[in-house]
This record gives sequence, C-alpha cells and structure tokens, in this order.
Amino acid sequence: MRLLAVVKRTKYTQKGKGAFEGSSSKTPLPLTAILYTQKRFVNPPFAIVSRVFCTQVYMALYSGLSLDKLMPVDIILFNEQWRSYGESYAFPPVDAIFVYCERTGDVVRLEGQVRIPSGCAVAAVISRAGKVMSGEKIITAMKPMHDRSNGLGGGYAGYGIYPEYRDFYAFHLFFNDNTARKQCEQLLKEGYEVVQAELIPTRQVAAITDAPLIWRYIVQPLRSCLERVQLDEKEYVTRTVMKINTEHDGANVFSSGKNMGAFKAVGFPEDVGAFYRLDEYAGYCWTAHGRYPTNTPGWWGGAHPFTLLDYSIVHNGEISSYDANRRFIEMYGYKCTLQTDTEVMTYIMDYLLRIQSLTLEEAAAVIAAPFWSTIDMMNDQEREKLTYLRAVFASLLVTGPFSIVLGFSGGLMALNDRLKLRSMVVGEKDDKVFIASEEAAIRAMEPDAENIFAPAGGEPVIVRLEEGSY
Amino acid sequence: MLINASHLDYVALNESIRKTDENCELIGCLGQRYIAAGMAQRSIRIDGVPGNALGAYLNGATITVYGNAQDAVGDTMNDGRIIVHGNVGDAVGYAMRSGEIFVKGNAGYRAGIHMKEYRDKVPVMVIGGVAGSFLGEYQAGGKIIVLGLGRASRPIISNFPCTGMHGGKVYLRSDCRDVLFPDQVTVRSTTDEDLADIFKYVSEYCNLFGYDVAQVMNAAFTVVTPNSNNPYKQMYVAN
Repeated sequence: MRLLAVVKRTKYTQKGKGAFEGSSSKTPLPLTAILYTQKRFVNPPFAIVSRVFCTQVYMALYSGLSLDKLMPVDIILFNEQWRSYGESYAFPPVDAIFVYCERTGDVVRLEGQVRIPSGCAVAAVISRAGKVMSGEKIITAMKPMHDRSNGLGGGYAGYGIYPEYRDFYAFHLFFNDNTARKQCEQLLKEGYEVVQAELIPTRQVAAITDAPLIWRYIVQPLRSCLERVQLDEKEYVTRTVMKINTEHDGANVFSSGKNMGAFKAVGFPEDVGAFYRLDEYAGYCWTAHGRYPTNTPGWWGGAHPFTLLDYSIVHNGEISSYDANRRFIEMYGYKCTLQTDTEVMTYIMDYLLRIQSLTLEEAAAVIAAPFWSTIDMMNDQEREKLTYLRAVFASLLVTGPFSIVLGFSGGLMALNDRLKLRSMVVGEKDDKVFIASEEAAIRAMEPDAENIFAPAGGEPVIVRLEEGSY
Repeated sequence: MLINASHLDYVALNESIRKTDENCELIGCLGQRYIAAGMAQRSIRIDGVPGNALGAYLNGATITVYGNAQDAVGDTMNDGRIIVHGNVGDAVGYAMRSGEIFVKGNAGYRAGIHMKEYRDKVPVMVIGGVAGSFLGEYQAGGKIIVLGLGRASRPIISNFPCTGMHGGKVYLRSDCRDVLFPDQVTVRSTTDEDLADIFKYVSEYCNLFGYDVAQVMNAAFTVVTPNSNNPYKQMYVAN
C-alpha cells in the first residue's frame, strides 16, 4: 500500500493563515508530522517534514482544499511527540487525520480514530529431520492472520536455503541507489572474497512499491584481513555489518548469516513472500512476520526479521525497556540504526549466545526473567542461577509485551514475555514443529497438527534439528 | 443454515451469519474474528478454529465450538452461552458481565479478567482443565470454576491468581496447597453452601462433555474471595 497524501486540521488552522506564514526554521513545526518517504529509500528513512512541505500541507488545509487537490506528498505520521531521533518536537493535537491510498483510491482514517483490529503476527515452521520445505508453506500461515498486520511490513527468514554456499556468508542489502551500492561493494571487496554478487530475484507484485535496490553477496572474510585485525570470523562480519549500517548512507545489511537469509519489505506478508519468490527457495526452517507498526516507521529496513549473523528475530509486541537495553548493548559495539525496537533484541541474543556463550535457556531467563517472587519458590540450585542471571544481566531484561521466534542455524526458539502479554501457540506433526500467533495459522500449514499448546510466559520452546540431519 | 467459511474473511463471514435469522452451522472456520459478535437468540455451531474475540458482546445466542478456540472468547459478553469442546486461548471471558462459558479443556492466561456482576446478571465460567497465570485478574463479580480434570501433577492454576480481585468468587477443584495466592484474597475450603452454589454449573459441564457429576464433585474444592479486611487499595502505584 502506498500512502500518498495527508491531511488534517489542527487548532492552528482556526487562527488564520498568518499562523503558517510566519514559521521559520526556529519555530516548532505546528504539526506532529514526520515525513516518511517511500519514494526513495533513505537511511534514516524519514526526515522531519521540511518547511516547504509544511507550507504546502498547511496551506492546503487552511484553504480547505479537498483531498484530491492536495499536493501528493509522502505519508506523514503523527504523534503527540516524536523523540526517536534526537530532537523533540511538541505539537498541538490533531483533530483528524486521513490518508489517501493510491492503490485502492480509498481515503481512510488513521488508527487511533478508527479501530484497526491489528497486532503483529509471527509464524514459524521447522523440520526436525532437516527436510526442506519451499517458502510457500510459511506464506500460507500468514493468510489467516492477514488482519493482524496493516501492510506496513512483512518478512521471512529461511534456514538451509543456500546449501551450495553453506560455508559462505550471504549478505542481503538494501541500497538507495547505485552510488551507495558501489561504495559498499568497495568496502566488501577490501575485506572479503566476493564469490557472487547479484540482484535478489523479485517478482512484480502490485502491492509492493518503491522497492530499493536489493542485492545479495556471497562472501568469505579474507584470511589476511582476519589475521591483521586479529578477530574471529563472526566478530569480523558483525563489525562489517555495523559499519555499513552506521556509516554508509543509503545502504543497509538486513541479512548476514551462513546458509540462511532474510527477506523483508513494506507490504502484507503474503505479498512480500510472492515478491521475493520464496516458493523458489527450500529451507528446513522458516520464520515469518506480519507487521503492524505502533510507534516506529513502517519502512523497508524496519520490517522484520531483524538479523545478525545466523540469528534472526520476528517479534510481536513492544519493548518498554528499549532504551535501557539499547544503552547497555551499544557499549559492546552494537549500534541500533533501524528505528525499530526489535533490533535491540537481535543484538542482545547475539551478545548473550555468541559473546557470553549462554545457553538458549539461560538467554531466555535473562530477557524474560521470572519475577523475584517466582524465583523465591525455586529450589536452591535454580534460585541461585536465576538470581545470578538477573543480577549480572539486569539491563538486558526485556519488559513490555513480546512473543518472538529466534531463528539460528540448526534450530529455533519461541519465547513470550514473562507476563505473556502476546499470544503464541505451538503444534507439531511428524517431523515438523509449528509456531504461530494463532492456532488458525498452524492449521493453515498443517490441518492435522497435534499437541497444540500455548507456552507460558518466559517458557522457551526450543526446537533443534536431529543430530546428523544438517 | 450451513455456511462454508473456508474462503470468507471475517467481514464476509459475519455478514452471511447476520443475513439470516436461522441457526447457523459454520464449517471450515480458520481464524475469522468476532464470530457472532453481539448476537441474540440463536444457535451457532462452529467446526474449525474460530478467530479471536469469538462471541464478543454476545447478547443471548448460544455458540458451540467443536474444537479449540483462540484468544478473548466471550469478550465483554452480555448474555448467552459459549461452549468449547477443546481449549481456549488467553483472556477468555474478558470483562464478561453475564451469561455462561463452558470450556472442556484448558484456558490460557488471564481467564475471567475483569469479570463483573450486577444484581441478577451474574456471569459464570467453567474451565474443565487447568488455567494459566492471572486467573480472575481484577475480578469484580461472577463465578469462575476450574475443575482441573486430567491435570495429573500439574497445579490447577498458575502464578498470580486473583491479582487485584475485588468481587466475585473463584472455585478450584483442588486443595490448592501448591498455589500461592496474594494476601488480599481469602482462600478457604468450600462449605456445603458453596458446593450448592456451583453444583448446577458443574452438572451442566458434566452433561455437556460426558462426565459423571458425582465423581467430579467428590473432591476437595477451594473457594477464593476478596479479603475485605485487607482489600486491594493500590495495585501498582500509590495514589
């Protein structure tokens, strides 16, 4: 869905035209407006509405032009206050907001004024026997959960999809333009053997518009570089990802694992799956996400999954502790650049699992730590361990609602927040385990799924491939 | 009337139910939300997995599900009856104000959250299996009955039951020695009067799902009510 124009009357409009004409760059913008351009992929993906834009919008509003006479500006998001990127603007309340959808021609009211029955959707399927499935299966799961997302993000992670390059890193990147791509390729060539570089094949899908350039690089760190910087391979790759995402404008690495890949876009998940031709890939594990962004922008880089190395996370929820978590994790070289809270959870898991060598169960006990009253009821050994984890990694406790699926090479882990403020259902059939926000999604993949159950808050569900199957 | 829901989205499905005054039988349900929302005086039978908020604001109709149901079954329901021959997800009977819900199996988190009653409008929910954490959270009225059938060694309910409870009753078919309750509620064994209070609903449950009521009633029951000597005054903040 491409959202084109905006609208609304603010209380300012009642004061007369002069209220707008006087605005200078020093005057707070009189609209809670964030320009989010979908025409061009930029990093960050939005800018504060420029004064020019404001003037256009306000003038149009003031003179009471009808929607079709508005300048076709890009979508503007509204909020009481927007603080996410360093500057804080306070805006007067907005009376009404409409958004024009170019594709359908509908003029719709924004969430908050009309109830949109949404909440993100997650789903996953894994074959414990390592049997590969086409991406079509996981797309099927997202169909009955269509209404959980609103078309502002969908994505997938597939594991085992690049068997011919299983020992190489597969980088997936978004670029604004070819200039950004060339700069980035230069960086890659300096540190990596680039075995293959290609556009990721996509299919024309009417609902997916304004795609950035989407490239895939099959790479291997150069031995000489690794020796020079004295880093292990994974740390070296991690630093490359962070460097590109923080220092290269218009370039964004959204997948960097071995024999796995993330595929994401702005759109409904079914459309995103078709766009990336996931039916042409085969993997032993797939995770999926349908996005309903609440307080962060719906842009390509902000779609789920969020990945680093082999780790990928799809997430339904909202992290109340985001800034506390981010401040802690950024001390260890990670940089949160993607404007979505879930990103920090991916880095937390990489830190706990790869750097700190915690087990999955221990990592789950850090981010979804049991309440002290629950810990008090445990036996001595468990209590000591849980107390240790809560004390040492206090800043990595993730509060607020979440249900996540963490994908990694050889398995996955599903986890709810400790209060279980989001839904998650697990089922199985033969060699396969299914996970989804709703049982309906599991039944869509496998009508005869068995042993359907809902894990408790903070209770990790860990599924691994059988030994030797991968 | 038979309605094949397999290719209908929730809007189309609900419209086709509303188009008729007849009783409906839905087949091939797969996640459609709000089925029978606000409906009165009819019977709806469902095959498949109904979506979230099944029977929200229900106003007298009877819904029977021959399988599992998802989250928020009977959200704010006003009257009528919902029968689920399987398990239900989280927040079943959310803010329910009257009517009856019978769940053959287990319930997820927050069953009966904010249930309430007023004079002769007394909601009742019977859960045959076990219930998750926060059962009866902020409960203000009505009866929640959990039978724990087939639970083996599992506790009948999980953590933080009756948090913020200030009305109504929770009946648990267990001595509850393995359950930690907050100080603001009173927990005691049932009296004959208590058992008489729930007998009608337990026998209806047994009748619906094929259990022997004498056998089910022949067990220790615990009743939980707000502790008026130590009520919840401030849950999370001092105000």
